[in-house]
Amino acid sequence: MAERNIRNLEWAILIPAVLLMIIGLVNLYSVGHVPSELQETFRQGSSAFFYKQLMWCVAGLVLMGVAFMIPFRYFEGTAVVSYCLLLVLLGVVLLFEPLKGSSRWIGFGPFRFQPSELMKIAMIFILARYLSEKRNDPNRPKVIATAITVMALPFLLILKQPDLGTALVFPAILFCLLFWRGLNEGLLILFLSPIVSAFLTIYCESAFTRGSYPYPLLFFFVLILYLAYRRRDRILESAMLVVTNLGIMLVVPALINMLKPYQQKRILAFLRPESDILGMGWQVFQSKVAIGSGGFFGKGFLQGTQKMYAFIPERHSDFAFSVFSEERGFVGSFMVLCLFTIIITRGFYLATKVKNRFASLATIGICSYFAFHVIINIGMTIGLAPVTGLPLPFLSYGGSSMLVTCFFVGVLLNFGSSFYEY
Amino acid sequence: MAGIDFQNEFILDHKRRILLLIVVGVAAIIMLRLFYLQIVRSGYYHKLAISNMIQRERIIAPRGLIRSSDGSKLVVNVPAYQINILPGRIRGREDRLALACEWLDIGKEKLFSSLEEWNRKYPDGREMTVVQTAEKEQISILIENKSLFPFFRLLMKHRRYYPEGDLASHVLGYVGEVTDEDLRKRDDLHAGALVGRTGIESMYEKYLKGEDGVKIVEVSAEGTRIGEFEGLADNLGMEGFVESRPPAPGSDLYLTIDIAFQRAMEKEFDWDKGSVIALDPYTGGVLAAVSRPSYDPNIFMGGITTEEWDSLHRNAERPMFNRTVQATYPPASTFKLMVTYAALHFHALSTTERLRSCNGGYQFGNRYFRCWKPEGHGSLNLFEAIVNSCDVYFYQAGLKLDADEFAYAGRLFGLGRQTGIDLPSEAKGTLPDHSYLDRRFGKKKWTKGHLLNYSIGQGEVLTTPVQLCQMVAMIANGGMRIKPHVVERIVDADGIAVYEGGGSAVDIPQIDDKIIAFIRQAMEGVVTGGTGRASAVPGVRSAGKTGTAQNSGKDHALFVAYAPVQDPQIAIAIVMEGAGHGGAMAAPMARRILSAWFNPVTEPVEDSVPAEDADAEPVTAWNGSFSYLYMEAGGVD
Repeated sequence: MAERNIRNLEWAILIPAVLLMIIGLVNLYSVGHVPSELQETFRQGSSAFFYKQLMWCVAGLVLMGVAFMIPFRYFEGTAVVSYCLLLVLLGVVLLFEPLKGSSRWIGFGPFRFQPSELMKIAMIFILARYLSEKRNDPNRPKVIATAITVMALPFLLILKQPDLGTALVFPAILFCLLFWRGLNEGLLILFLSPIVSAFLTIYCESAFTRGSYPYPLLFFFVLILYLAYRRRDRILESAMLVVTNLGIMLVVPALINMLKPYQQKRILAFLRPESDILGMGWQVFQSKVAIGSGGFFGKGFLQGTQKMYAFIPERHSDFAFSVFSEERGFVGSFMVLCLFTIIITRGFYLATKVKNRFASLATIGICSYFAFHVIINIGMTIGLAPVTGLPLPFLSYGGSSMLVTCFFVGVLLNFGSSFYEY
Repeated sequence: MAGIDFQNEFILDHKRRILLLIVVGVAAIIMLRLFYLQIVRSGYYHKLAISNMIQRERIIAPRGLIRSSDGSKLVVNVPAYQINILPGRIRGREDRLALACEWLDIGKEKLFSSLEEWNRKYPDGREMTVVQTAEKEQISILIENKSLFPFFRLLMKHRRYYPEGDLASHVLGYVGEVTDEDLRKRDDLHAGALVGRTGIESMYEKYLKGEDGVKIVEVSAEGTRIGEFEGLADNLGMEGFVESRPPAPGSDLYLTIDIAFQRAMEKEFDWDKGSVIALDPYTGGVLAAVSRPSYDPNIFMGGITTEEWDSLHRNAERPMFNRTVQATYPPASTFKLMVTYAALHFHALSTTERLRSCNGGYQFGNRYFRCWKPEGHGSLNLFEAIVNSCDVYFYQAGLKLDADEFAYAGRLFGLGRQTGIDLPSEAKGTLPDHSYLDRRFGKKKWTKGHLLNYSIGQGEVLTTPVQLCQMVAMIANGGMRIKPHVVERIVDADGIAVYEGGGSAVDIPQIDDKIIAFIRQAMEGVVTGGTGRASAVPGVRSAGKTGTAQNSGKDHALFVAYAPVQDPQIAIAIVMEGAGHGGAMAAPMARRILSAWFNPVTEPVEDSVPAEDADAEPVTAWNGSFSYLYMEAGGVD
């Protein structure tokens, strides 16, 4: 059982992952690079990121191998224990001295790690294990309640750090798992659509006050009506869907108007960074300038001016993609996006083909982890998503993120090579 | 085998398609967005990226120098370091600013409060000047602690320096930093630029200022200056970008002023209020000009304090007022030269005709017009009347003339309008003609009595010292039109002359040379045996005319002269406010000034004319309120 057949290796996942890892390393080298003629003006030391990340990559590859080699039953078996342990750690981390305004890290010798990153693994495994049990029909209220509780505990603890971006990964993964496990689509839509409605309402409200029409909101409402029409046989559910969404669309603006102006501003700045060009919007604006000025082929390796003169914020972590996109242009961005899409879609395929229910669910969890991180991070750099500080797998600097990402790839490879195990 | 609800391939495939649709859909949206940013709008963002990293640095062009006719420097530029503060960079470093205040010896409370005021006034975070002219010590502290005090900026600036102090200060003028109002009105200026405020600094601003250069430098997000931007060639033609350009220094001005003579004149003119101007009678070039009281333009250099400014501007003596061209005085007896010209031109008199004898006054209607000499001059001809400045003779001459005829003569010699001298705010003076008097008093409301006053240069007629000097210069040069001017030529940075001042003298055909010759003779008579004897310079034949202008206080002493008679080199006009009589006060001054011109190396000649002779015009002769009373009486006929 522990034997792994090299011919069963999921090349479609391994190769894009390794390529992305290399891209990320090279990009970090560029971030830390200071042209020799400028070394007097800029203080040195940023190449430390490159060497540290190199070390994390090596560690990540080892971890990937381990995750690939060990029987996936162990993941299932240790899920509950590790979940509980990490829950404790998430509680402990709150006691630590805040760093950059939030308590995310736990010191461990010379290293610091984020329990919230490890919690992503643990939650995927524990939910996959729970939902893979046949009797746990996701349409039963008790099952839904349990799943939501399992998700909500780390979610709330992470929200407390505060780290909204990371916290939001948890419900996103949960919804995907429930969907895959067979949660009634109508119910899923009933759950999700109000969230989207609220988001779009706030998003469009500013547009509306500026005089343009809230097209995305209208479009979404038409979609809701269509979905309700399609499920007209279940008249109660359809009616609830329409009523809930319409209610949200009407109530949210009123709620926002009740908030104090600075609170309104903060919400708006979160959803539309460019409305606050001197605050959060500045980062997004500079990121867009970097990406846009990259053009089709980019400015060339080490040549990014937005990067070189530090106009891009958080160049090595959150906005690493902006640096890459500036230097490699549309071609490079397209490539990176394709590599991520290959990993994710191949994961979807794997989830349908793998015989083990736990493995299938865990695969979907991992895919949603990748998808959510990629969409939110890249969306942030191009001004489509809020600035949350969610790292881009492989490209953003960070040990915890790199190790977790590598581990997930290893797990996917593991599942891929044990297709027929039950 | 798992349950059908989950493992059924059909259902899973269906779900996979939904997930795929979502993932691929979102990826497509991201892709489209990237396409939009990186391909559609690439040019726009490229431009933004470049403007992010470059800054246009202005290289201030050095202002042109001002030199005297022999090339001595009258105005120069000296480098000075200015300490500016960038309010935007202070945030969170207030403690360091306090430390900087201590090290630089700047008043902390005052700086903080003025900063607060500044930030309220200019919320855009523009820099504020903390120290106008920094000390060497302050400069070295700032340079050594550049990174500790990132909110300071050291600016090297050229400041104007006037090495001769108040010498010819009214001619030179001074410069000041542009005000917000200037900046609003003119778009070719930048904050902190120096502009000429008055004098030739202001009149020749265009030539002096040069053209500022531009340097395109790369700057990081933190504001660190990287160096000159090299990628410019690839990005030229992009809207809003300019090439680096070296500054074009301002052109140097060479004045007609003779520095040695100017120094001598400043020294000799020891009266506290008044003015002297000397012209070259053939070119119109100003050889020297003094206006008193004066000021030292260097006080504007280090950033003048409000108190200093107020004391200069509120001063009742008006030191900033350039009396040479801005003040108007009654020409008094010097105007008799014009009356003479008018009378001879319109054949109202002949040179030989003797008029009614002067007994110290003249009865006209119910008014008695006095002569300055109570004991009278007896019967005089025109020549003797000029030499002795007999008022009674000229009252009679005035009665034979029309107001327009006075004005005709005066206008020929440039009175009543600006001479066009290249100094700011020149006054026009007043030269009344018929229509002017009609306007002033009403038609038929003025009488011949006004003309009596007019004929001795009192009443409505007003002239500036430069007009008087121009008048006498025209008599000296035989009736040629000249344009008084201060700037002889302007030489640009490449040594090419770009401007010539003045222009050559133009003969005016209407001026009758015979009359001019007569006037010149009479003026020489004034110096050799008339009211202007005190002005005689030994060894030099000079010609002049005294004047005593009535004033509400003590009379103004006037004297106009040219010399030498056979080959005029210099024409001067002197006005000494409240000094008394022209012959007694202004004529001796003329002697000292002319001596300085003709004997530049030797010490000025001591009073060689006996004191009693100098008092040719007794102080008691005029009743100061005479003209004033007459005017109140209205139209007496």
